[in-house]
Amino acid sequence: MSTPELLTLPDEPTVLADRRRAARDLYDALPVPTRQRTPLKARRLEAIPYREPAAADLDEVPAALRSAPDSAGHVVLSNGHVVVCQLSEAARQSGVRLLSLAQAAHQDAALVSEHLGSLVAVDTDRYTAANAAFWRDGVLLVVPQGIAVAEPITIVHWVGAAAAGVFPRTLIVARDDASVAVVETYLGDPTDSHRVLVSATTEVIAGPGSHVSVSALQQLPPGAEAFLRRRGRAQHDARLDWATAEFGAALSVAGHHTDLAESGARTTSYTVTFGSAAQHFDYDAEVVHIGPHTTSDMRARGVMSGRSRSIFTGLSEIRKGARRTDARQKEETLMLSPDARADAIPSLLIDDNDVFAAHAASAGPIDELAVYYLASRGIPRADAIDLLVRGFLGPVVERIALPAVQNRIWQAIDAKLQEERGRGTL
Amino acid sequence: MAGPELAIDNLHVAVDGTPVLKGLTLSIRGGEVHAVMGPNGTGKSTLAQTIMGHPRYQVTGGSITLDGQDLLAMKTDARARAGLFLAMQYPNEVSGVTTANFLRTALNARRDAKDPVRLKEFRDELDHAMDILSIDHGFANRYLNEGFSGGEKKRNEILQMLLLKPRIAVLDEIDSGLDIDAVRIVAQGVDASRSPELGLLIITHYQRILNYIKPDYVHIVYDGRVVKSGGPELAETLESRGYEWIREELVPAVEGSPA
Ligand SMILES: Nc1ncnc2c1ncn2[C@@H]1O[C@H](COP(=O)(O)OP(=O)(O)OP(=O)(O)O)[C@@H](O)[C@H]1O
Ligand SMILES: [Mg+2]
Repeated sequence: MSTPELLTLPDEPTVLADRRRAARDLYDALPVPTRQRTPLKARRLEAIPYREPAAADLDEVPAALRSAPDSAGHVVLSNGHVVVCQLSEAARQSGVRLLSLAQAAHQDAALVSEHLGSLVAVDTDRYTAANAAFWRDGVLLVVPQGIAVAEPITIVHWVGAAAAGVFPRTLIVARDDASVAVVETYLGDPTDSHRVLVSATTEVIAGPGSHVSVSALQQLPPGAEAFLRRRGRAQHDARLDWATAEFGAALSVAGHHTDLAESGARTTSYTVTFGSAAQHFDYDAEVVHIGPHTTSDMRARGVMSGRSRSIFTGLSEIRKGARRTDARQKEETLMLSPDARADAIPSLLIDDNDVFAAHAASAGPIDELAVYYLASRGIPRADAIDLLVRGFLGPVVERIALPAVQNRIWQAIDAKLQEERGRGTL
Repeated sequence: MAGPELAIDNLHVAVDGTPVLKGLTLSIRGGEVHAVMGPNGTGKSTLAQTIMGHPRYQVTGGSITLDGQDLLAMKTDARARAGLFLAMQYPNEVSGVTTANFLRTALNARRDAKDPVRLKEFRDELDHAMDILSIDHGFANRYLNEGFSGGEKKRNEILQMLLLKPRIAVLDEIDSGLDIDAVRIVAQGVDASRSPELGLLIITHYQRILNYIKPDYVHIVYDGRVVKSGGPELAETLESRGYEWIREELVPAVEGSPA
């Protein structure tokens, strides 16, 4: 069998090689995880030869994705290998560092070993352990103190037809008072339905007074089985904004977690989901208020059609001592089909008295009276539903501060709606 | 082209199995204004919604045609594109869809997909119609009817009518909930669109709106039927005398009087 007994990268510092070995042991020891509403065993993920390393394939990455003129920096990973890494001259001059994680590992082993794996625990489950053991490359972004990167940094994770397993990692370090927006997209050929396991992690260290925004658009090809873990830590007065969208893949077990570690830290979290056919999304959005005077605003809206299934678990945890915090969450789902299923599970764990916390969740079918009203003005049913779906998702999309991300999400929504029309479900 | 003609013949309609319209007959031609009046719950809105094809109203008998075409065989959106318009008594709130976007979509539904309405042209027309109805231009970017006051919703209905330019328009209590000035503004907006190409059916409880839009015919609907038709003077009689005399006229004199 060609499965590498243990993957090591050339010149990998001992400390990282040791961790990789430990992760590999964990991976071997951990079972396929049990998730309450996602029967993972039945998906037979182990039948995917995902430990086979796939080669980088730049040719397969659509030309339009290889560069991003409006970005301050742009990285393309093909099957987990960095194939493009560009940083604008202005960003470079200001001391911003954007590089391949493999390269960073031996150029700056101290920094990488300090932060890599400091937030996403290797033993979260078998697939985070797989990511820690089998990662080949990823991205390191460091924004120095006081530097505001005006344009976003864009990262494309391309999953090609030859890949069986893809394990990228992203590490974002924003120093004191720095500000940066990172946009990660997970993409592949929408007509490619071969099975591939994708396990990616993103870690964000938002230093005191910094403002980091991380957007993640999941539009993986239809055969993908994805595990996407994102975790950030916001220090004193830092702000960490998440915008995530789940549109692709057969299975996506994803989520983001924020520790509001020190006083004055803030986070916003906006998630848009559109499930169709037999897609299965299992998303965890979590925020832990540790410091006092911390605030969180979590909103998710999803549209489910076909026989798709979604689980959205929102958790706002307020630890003792996190007084004067404000934690809100709201999850809403629009059901386009009686065969689709959505569970929104909001929860609050509160261990301090002097706080404000609120949560709400709802799900319902399309408003037939609204369809009738629109039809009474000459709008055909499919167009009316199209309008209502956009109208439903709009309020969350429009909260996302970056126009470029809003546009990407609208394009993804367009594509989904187009697909639904093709299937005749509208 | 000949003006439009909507013909309702011996219409029977039930809601959840309960008969509401019981043989209603009415015809409206281009250039005409018909007022329909009648006590609460006699079937006026049922008539309006049935013309438009509301899914809750089941037609159990009779026919409705537009220019001889069987309207009941058409879906709601096709009826609208054929030239029908209903200003609803209780317009729906549609969250997330702006009035402007909605109206543009409605106009484009009437056009070739390759020839959508030009944005500038649309905006100008919308602004113009809003000015006629004294609607703040900001309403164009608000979600359709969401959080609108009762009167604002009614104006918004007429705004849609001015943009969509129907051939037969049914206005269901467009004057309810409007203040005195608003009734005048809205009614004048409607009146200005009178033409041989537009037939109007105005459902109302009040004489006031008919001072601005002079009806050619006034019909009284009672218990699911048109029980009396006349000219504008009929509305005035109702205003001063109420419906009691109609009820009395309908009840055969023999009943209750000694033999
Ligand atoms: N959607 C509905 N569900 C249940 N009952 C209905 C519905 N629509 C109409 N009805 C019933 O049908 C009858 C006629 O109602 P309709 O709304 O047509 O009256 P109307 O003449 O418009 O009254 P108003 O002057 O109060 O507006 C009433 O008894 C009403 O309760
Ligand atoms: Mg009514």
